[in-house]
Amino acid sequence: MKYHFLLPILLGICVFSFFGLLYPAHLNFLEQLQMFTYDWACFSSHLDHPGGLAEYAGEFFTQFYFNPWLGAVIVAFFVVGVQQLSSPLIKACGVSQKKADWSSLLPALFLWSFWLDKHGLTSFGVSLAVILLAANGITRISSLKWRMAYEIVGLIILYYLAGPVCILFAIFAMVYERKNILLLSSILFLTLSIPLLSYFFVSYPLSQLYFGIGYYRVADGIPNFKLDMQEEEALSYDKMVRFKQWDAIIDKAQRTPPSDITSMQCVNLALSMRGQLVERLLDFPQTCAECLISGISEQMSSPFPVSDIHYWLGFINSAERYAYDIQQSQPIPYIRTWIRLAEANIINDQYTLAEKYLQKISKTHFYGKWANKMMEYLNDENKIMENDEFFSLRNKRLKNDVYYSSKDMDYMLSRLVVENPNNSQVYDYLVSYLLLKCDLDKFVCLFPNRNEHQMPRVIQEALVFAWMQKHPNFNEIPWVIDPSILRSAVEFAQLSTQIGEKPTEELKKQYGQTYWYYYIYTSNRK
Amino acid sequence: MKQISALYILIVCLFTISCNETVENATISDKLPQIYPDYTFVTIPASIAPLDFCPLDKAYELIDVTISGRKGESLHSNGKCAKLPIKKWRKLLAQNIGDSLEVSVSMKHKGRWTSYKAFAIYISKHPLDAYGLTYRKVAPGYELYGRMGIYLRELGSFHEKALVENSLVTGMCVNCHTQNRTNPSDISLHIRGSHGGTFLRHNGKDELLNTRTDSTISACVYPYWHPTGNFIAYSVNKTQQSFHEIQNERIEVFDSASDVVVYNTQNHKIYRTPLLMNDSICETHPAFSPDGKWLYFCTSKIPKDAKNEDFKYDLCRISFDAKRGVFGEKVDTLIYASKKSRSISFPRPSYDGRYLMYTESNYGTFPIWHREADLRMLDLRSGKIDSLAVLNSDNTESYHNWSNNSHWVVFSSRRYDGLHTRLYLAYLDDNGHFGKPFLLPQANPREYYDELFQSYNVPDFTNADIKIGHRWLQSKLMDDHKIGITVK
Repeated sequence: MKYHFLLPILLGICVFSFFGLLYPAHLNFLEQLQMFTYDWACFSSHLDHPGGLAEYAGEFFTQFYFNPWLGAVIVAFFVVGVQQLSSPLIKACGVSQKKADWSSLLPALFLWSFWLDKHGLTSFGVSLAVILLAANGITRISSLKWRMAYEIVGLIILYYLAGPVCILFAIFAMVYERKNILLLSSILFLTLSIPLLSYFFVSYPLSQLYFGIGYYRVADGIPNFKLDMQEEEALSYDKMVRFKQWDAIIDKAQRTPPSDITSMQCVNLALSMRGQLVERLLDFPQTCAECLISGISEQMSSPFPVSDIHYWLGFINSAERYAYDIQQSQPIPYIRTWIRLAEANIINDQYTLAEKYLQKISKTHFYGKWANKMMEYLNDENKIMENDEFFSLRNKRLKNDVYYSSKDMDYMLSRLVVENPNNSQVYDYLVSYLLLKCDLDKFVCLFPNRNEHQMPRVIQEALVFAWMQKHPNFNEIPWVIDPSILRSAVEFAQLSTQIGEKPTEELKKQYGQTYWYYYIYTSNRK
Repeated sequence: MKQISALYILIVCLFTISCNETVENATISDKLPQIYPDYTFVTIPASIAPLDFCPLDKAYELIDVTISGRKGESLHSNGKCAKLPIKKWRKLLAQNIGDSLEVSVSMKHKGRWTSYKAFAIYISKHPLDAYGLTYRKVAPGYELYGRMGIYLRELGSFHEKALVENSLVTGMCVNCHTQNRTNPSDISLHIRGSHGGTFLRHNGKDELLNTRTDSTISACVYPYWHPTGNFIAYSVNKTQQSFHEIQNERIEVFDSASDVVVYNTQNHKIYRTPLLMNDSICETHPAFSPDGKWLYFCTSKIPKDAKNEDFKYDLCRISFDAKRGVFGEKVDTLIYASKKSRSISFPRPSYDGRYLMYTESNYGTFPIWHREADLRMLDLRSGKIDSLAVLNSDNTESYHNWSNNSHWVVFSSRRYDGLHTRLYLAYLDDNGHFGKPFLLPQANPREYYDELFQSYNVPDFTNADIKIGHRWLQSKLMDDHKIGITVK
């Protein structure tokens, strides 16, 4: 009997701790991929398909994932709820209480593992809980006549409310009514035919009507029921970029080096925001120029940093475009993209449009105040000039038109530098981009004159490397280079010539953070 | 229990009073009321849905509206927005055809009422001659697209229904669609995506075509029906897009190559002429004259360095013999827009053959993203061009189409927020003068348009309801063996 009480408590603590401590960025990621507004438009947009109301309820709960601890409570509530609602159903099938308790862990663990996938939506848990709750109702009705009515009408209503997960209700009803062949076959017939019938009324593929429209974010996608801590790391960087926690990003990267493109893009953006990009470029595991800036690709853990990087560099139109494209990939609005769209349109003086976005955002719980504050900026040029972020980005953006090209990123960055030579952040990006792209010819062009101040080490290393490729010695090298770098360059050249294509651990230990090592062994320039 | 009932009644009374109160001690203003949508002095058809409107400034608490005509019973509305009862509205309009209605508006702001100068709404003597409008609704996006569809809106009510939505097949995009002179027995609708095709309804019979051929540069794109229904002129386009990085500019869509072809609905064959397939010239946006003897189209030389800004399209025409399916031997240029460094797109002749409306912009063939794009109208009798100041705004005006009686046009404009295209209808009188256009009416227009983050595309009138079997369409789309077409 003690299992009966201890099991849900232990399960709840485990789920809560897991999502609160180990997996909070996943919750935050889910929260930003929706926009729950307290209005009719948000509600009515869910009414046109089966399971829409569960989606609506799911989005309501997901908005609280803004605070991951609150999110962890909600997730734990649903996982425990599913376990608690499953247990009496299993017991009703003739299983002992103890076995029922242990068996009820299976659906709970299934839900938990479903939510390990960043595309697994809360609506699935809501649907599951509603269906199991409704199935429990079957056991409370003793009259066969009323139970039949409940099961048949309930199945239809549940399909509309919660979508095809209602099959669990049907399965339980069939097991419960296994002696009544007529009723059993009626339920089976209904279960199979309801999605087929709805196929003629709603505009969705049959596969989605059978397997669910709003349980999983990727249409026709298959959930990945596994723990992905690398993705969690990338999403946590993504979250910190979202909340402008530049120092925290750098601290985290120093503790554990980032391991994917999304994370590296976030770290590099944070370094640039703190004016450390070039100085510390090779302190972190760079692998290619795309670690700095790129377009969106499917391999990315989160597409948002791409828009953020463009935004902070002054490519306001591109930041807006990427945000818009992220938004277009799904039918529901994303709060994070809408905030970006509102900001971009304030910076670009499109106040009517910005107001349209802000009005919608103002109807949300966690962003309403922000939206109302932003509305004060509309048509108030003085106020915009007093806002550091808007003022700085208005100055950074291009004044002369150019067509954006992610393939010619060095050209795009150089355009920003030419139009705003004081924009040191973009200059750092340009220098770093050419370095990571291993485009030394263009890189050297940035340093046509003898330098008066000491340059960051990575720049000196790259200049020496470029010089060495065309000259036998350093006699006429036009830049002031630290003598230790010159010595080190010669030593590295000798060692790497002896070692060949595969670097030794010792070489990596000694030269792993030099530009030469990056150029020869790490970069994907080939 | 009695106490609860009394409280309930009190709440209901308070609610009613707070949302509906009489105008008292109003300040008289000699200004026109600032309302949304701006329906002051517009000309409307007698069959249009009620012109509900709201105070332009959202800070206004209430609006009180009285609408009266020379004949019939006045309408009155009082609330957050003017909501006009549809039956009484229809009756009032029917009683005052060819005349005008007087609209008296008072608005309450910070507890004080102001009564504004009354304005007129004119009811044209010519009917709308249309059941509704068809259009695409799509977010004005860049490279990706989300939810979209082709919709039909009844013009006598607020009812809108989806004809085709892209949720039907994953990854599907619906775009260029048109009826034959507003007759929905003939429809062409292009669907893109991995399962794409061209839905064709001719004389009520449906088929799904694969319009790609080895001899044309793309599948068929911009359609226009021949009045007989036996032919459809299409453009075939190699389209690209670029993205501006400067404030207030977004997207540039352009053709690096395009031709015009004519498809025969009877034998699934494409008819071509070298005059419309010149490699050094882009030909696009075809439209048949109402008598079917001419094919209008836009044409631009392909500049040497293919810079977008150097594509300037002229308006041309070529004769077409529908009996033999043969093109004429020379191309006439009707408007040399390129000489004035301008560019023409979307030519649409009125169905009475008198006018031709088109969009004019600085360059290119896709003026939807050009703020300077305006409508123009060529008088085909006199050759004069009307700049249509009454229809145009500081922002983009682009797609447009005529009603069957050629007295009404529907056009799309970005005048409200600069991005989301909205539909406007305008009346053309017997003397060739347009009345002030009005925004497509909606019940609670403020909420509707504020909440709508999609644009209206390619509007067209339809003279009857349309039904497309979406399950039939889905199964045909998923079937990779679509009806192929060949080149004659």
